[in-house]
Amino acid sequence: MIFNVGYLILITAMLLTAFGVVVGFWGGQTRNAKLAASSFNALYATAVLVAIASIILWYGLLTDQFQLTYVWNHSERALPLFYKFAALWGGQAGSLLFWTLILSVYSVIVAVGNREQHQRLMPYVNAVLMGTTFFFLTLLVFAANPFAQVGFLPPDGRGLNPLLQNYWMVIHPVMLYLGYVGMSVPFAFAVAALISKKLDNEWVRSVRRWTLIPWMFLSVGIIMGSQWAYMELGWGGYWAWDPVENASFLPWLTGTAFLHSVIIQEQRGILKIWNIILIWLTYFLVILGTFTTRSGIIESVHSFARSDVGPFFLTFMVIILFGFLVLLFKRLPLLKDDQTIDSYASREAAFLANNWIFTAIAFATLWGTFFPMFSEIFTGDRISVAAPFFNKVNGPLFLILFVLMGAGPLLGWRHTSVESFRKQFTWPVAGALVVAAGASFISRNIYPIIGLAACGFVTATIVQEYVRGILARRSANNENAVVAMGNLYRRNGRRYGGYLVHLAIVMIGVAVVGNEFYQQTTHVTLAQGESVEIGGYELVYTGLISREASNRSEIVAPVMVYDSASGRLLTTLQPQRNIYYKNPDAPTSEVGLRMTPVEDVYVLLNGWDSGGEIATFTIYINPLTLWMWLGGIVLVIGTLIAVWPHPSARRASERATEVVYGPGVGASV
Amino acid sequence: MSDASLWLTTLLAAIISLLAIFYAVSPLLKPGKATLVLDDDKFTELLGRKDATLQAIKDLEFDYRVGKISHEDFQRLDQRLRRQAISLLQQLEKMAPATSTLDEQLETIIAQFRKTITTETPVAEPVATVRETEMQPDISTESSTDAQVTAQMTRFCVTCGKPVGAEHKFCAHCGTPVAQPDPASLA
Repeated sequence: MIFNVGYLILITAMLLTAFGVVVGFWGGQTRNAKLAASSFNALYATAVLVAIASIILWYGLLTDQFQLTYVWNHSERALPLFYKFAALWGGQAGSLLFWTLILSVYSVIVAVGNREQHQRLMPYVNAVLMGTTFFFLTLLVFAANPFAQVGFLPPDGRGLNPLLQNYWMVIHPVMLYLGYVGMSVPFAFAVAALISKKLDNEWVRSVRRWTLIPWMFLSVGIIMGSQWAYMELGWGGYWAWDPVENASFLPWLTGTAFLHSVIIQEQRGILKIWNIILIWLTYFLVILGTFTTRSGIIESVHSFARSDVGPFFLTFMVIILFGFLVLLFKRLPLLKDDQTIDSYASREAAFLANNWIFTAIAFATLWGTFFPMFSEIFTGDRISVAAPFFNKVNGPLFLILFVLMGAGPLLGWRHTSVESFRKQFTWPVAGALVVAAGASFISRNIYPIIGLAACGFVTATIVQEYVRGILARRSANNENAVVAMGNLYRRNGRRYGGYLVHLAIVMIGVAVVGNEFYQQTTHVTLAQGESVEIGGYELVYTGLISREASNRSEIVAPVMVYDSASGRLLTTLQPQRNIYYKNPDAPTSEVGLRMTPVEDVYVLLNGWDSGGEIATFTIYINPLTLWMWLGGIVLVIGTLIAVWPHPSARRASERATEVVYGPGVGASV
Repeated sequence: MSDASLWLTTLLAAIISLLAIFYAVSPLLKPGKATLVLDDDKFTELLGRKDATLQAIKDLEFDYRVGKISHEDFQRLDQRLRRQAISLLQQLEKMAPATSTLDEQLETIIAQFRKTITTETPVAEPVATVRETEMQPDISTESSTDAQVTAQMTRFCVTCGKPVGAEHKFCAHCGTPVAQPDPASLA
């Protein structure tokens, strides 16, 4: 019964968002305060309804209500509670509901936070956000009802996809959704600015924080997804350029470009059209990404035809595409740049180049992702482009991007003189050369040497920026180094937090180069007590152990790892296979992993024979992989520093509200 | 599903839905004419642009100090940004008194000034702060040296108490806009 209530509530929420869209636009056009207030209320009410619906589905999952198709397909009695909770985003209907839930929560935060400050924009912002919510609610109501019932009461569920039963897989989608969905907010502001013709810098300033936070979640989501692929998929790598990965990477690329180009608009009043296009592209790629992962169009165009949600997505995307283009075209005369770029040796020129590269990578990735689909449509044959295509095209582009990442901060706004150029570039270039020389001792391969040199260049830039910043503060304000650094963060967190994010990207870059060029691998069959040597390690197979867990049996093959030079025992790894009772045909692999800052020893159990007398393993030595995960942590810290309000900005915003409306006036509007 | 449960479902869903709908529609049902949404955006935009410009001046100084731009470039760009900042502050000043609370604040400040003139106390007590900037840009150097001095008198900043030049629109020390004395009242 309660589940029917859930479905009916979703219908109400859908109608309410439609109402909200209308009063939002109408209220924005007429500047009628009652209509505007109504759009806010509709938005809040929708959020409550969606939350109730989600709680009902959670209740169904946690209490094993298998009469619900969704619960039946994505859960089982023996599933650990943690995964029952996470099963909300384990399947199509649930994850769409989860999307909607996050979007409504974001919308409420945005509405509450900006209601007084941007009174002209907000009704439109509400309308755009509710428009997106409306679309997802239509999907839930008409195409992917999470409360659909089987019609009888099955004794047990079919179980959650074994691959998803992993700690990272539980958080990864949450992070990704937080990032994905959050990108709707800057888009909503951009559309609001276009419609209201308020195309000054107000919308750009108001979305800065709202872009950085989703960007951080998106980045963390992507890194966690890589971690999951690394630990769970068991092929020794972390990134395969598969369509689902690309779906999350595409909006990240355009979002990152947007983050950089809005800085130029704020500083110089240029690139106005470009910024609007970038944020629209990001939003579009978010919807496209959700579409590709949800409709199955990438696996095969035929699965798209069978998918219920596909046509809805396609319609929505066409609306976004044409609606936006028409709006942009109408407003083009208002989007004239205030100034022009003075010199190519300036920071804005470097930023512009960075934007081109990001866009180029995005288009190459988009092309590679959809190529199989086009080839199937036009030739009938499915021609997939695999990792080598992406690496070949995107590798060099990323290299240029790294060089720009190092060079950009060294250039001044507007113009850099030859003298400053020399002063700024000496140390970073020296850093690059030292790293290149060091790397050439390890291997003669030129590509990783160039890659690592670029990483060295960026790192040296960042160190130099910090050192010079601290020295400048010390001489001007007589502060000691620690206080000076703290003040750099406090007063200019945006820049110095940004540098930390750059450092994080370098760390990830180092891990990528290490894995791409220095990885060693072997495939062996070992009898009990037999050993194999690889990369300075000796690995000994000790025999098979079998254990039972609540919903699976685990086959573990402990492998002892020795240092071959000294013969010292380093660790015992436990590569294992899990056989889930509900899905015995799809055993999952748990990697035996020894992580150090230098390299990972990564052991996979492939199979066994004669009751464990012999077993086959794939062993990888993955250099520098740890730096990727550490980079993720640094990235979060850097972003948080960058979004932390500046001490004066905090006061200013409090003051601004008071000055304009007088204390408490805004609240009554 | 039994009849009772069907009714209960419908009832529960209807109650929740009606509550939500009523809440959303309620602002429209309020009696009285709808007010227009405030057109404060010009002010917000100017305020934001002022903040951005002041930040740009600060960044420029910092870039100069760490050797990212040459001395000539610094001087040229610094001048340009400062002129921009002044023009923004002037526009803001023109707009700001339009709001009632600011009027009141300005009245208090002016009253304070008169008191200062009559009693000739050199220190003015800080009254309500109109606006202060973290930046403390030294924009006094930009002001014209027009000899249209209204009166031979010493004025003081209401925020920091430092003397303010007669022709200055902003405090040279802390950047607070200085209320222009009314010539009529001084005559």
